[in-house]
Amino acid sequence: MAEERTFAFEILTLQKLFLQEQVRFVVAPGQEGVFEVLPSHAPFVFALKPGVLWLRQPNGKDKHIAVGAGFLVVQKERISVLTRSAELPSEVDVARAQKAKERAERRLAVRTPDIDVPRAQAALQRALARLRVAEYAGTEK
Amino acid sequence: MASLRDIRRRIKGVKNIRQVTRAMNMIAAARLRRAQAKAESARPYAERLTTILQDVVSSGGALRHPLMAQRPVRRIALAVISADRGLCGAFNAGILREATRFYRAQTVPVDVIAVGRKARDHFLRLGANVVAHFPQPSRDVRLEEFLPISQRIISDYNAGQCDQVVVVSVRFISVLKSEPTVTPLLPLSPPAQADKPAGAAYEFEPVAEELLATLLPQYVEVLLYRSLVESLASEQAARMVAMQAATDSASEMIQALTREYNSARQTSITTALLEVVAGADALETK
Repeated sequence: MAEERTFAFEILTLQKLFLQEQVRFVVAPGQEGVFEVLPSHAPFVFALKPGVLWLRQPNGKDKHIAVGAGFLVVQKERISVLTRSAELPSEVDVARAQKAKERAERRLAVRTPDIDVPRAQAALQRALARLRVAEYAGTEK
Repeated sequence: MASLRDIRRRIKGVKNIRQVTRAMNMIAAARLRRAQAKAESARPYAERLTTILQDVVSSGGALRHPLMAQRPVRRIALAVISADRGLCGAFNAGILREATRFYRAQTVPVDVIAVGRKARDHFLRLGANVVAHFPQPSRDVRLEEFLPISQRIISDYNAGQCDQVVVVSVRFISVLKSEPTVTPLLPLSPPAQADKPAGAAYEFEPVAEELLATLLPQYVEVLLYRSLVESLASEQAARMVAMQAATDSASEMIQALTREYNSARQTSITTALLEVVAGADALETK
């Protein structure tokens, strides 16, 4: 089997450099739909919405990460994600995400005029992403 | 002259104070290190975001976005980043002096957005229009603590509540030096393009103009986050220095009081001795 090509990938959050490693490919939740980035991708800037980002490591194992709104920037041989928040499955606070999900759903169901719908939707997306990522807890490192 | 017991009591009191100031000094030193590390680790994100913003702005020709639009200034929002607590030397005084100077110099109405209790109290006393108050973020500066601040600022601006947003915060220069500064925040002036070869030609999804709608608020957040973290670091530095000075003067005072105590004790012994000797003399001569 031919040696799989990899590229340098990093996730930066406001607080810290969250992750930095070689990957084979990345699948990210774009504002216009989920997309995949392979090595030698043309320079690109994608806007991300809150969701699940996953990547394949050179050893063939996958890693799932809950990301908040942000960007994925493809530069020559380096791909960076700039996001407000990023969490590994083991870092997700499931109880809190569950509560946030219910709160957001309740708000969207009632829709009184003082409710900020886009904000509730964004909150719901974030909570769902966290919950989905949390399912991988324990199965990957 | 103060009695022996009074002096002893005062020495004890000052010692207690010294213990407190010494503890505060050490806590501030530890927190300062953490705050500095925090400022440091936020840097890569801020720098990368700035470059991308430059690239996006310079690639798209005349990109327009409400957050960058200059409009006639009829109302200014002044965001003052202060502390919730005192006992940190001239930190709060410095920031409030700078903010007040700016506040008084304006010809148009100014609304105050106060971060930290000290700023709110001060501007309420001045009779200013304090439209929002946020508690100072904890030392972790968590997302849910500071996002409301930037969201409030952006939404006020978009709603036309103000035509300019100015931040007064303390810039951290070194442990011994920090400076209250006034920085215009909105409308954003995109970071000036450095003299570098035109950045890589990117493609965008969605198109550049929509991308800006996500990019710019994030940029505002970074700028605010930075001011908050720096202000936190400066506060701890100021507290550390102030508490060191307080500990030193407490030590000095204890020394002076101990001296006074000893000489008072000496005097009382001498007096007592004299009385005994005088008494014995009187008996002998009888």
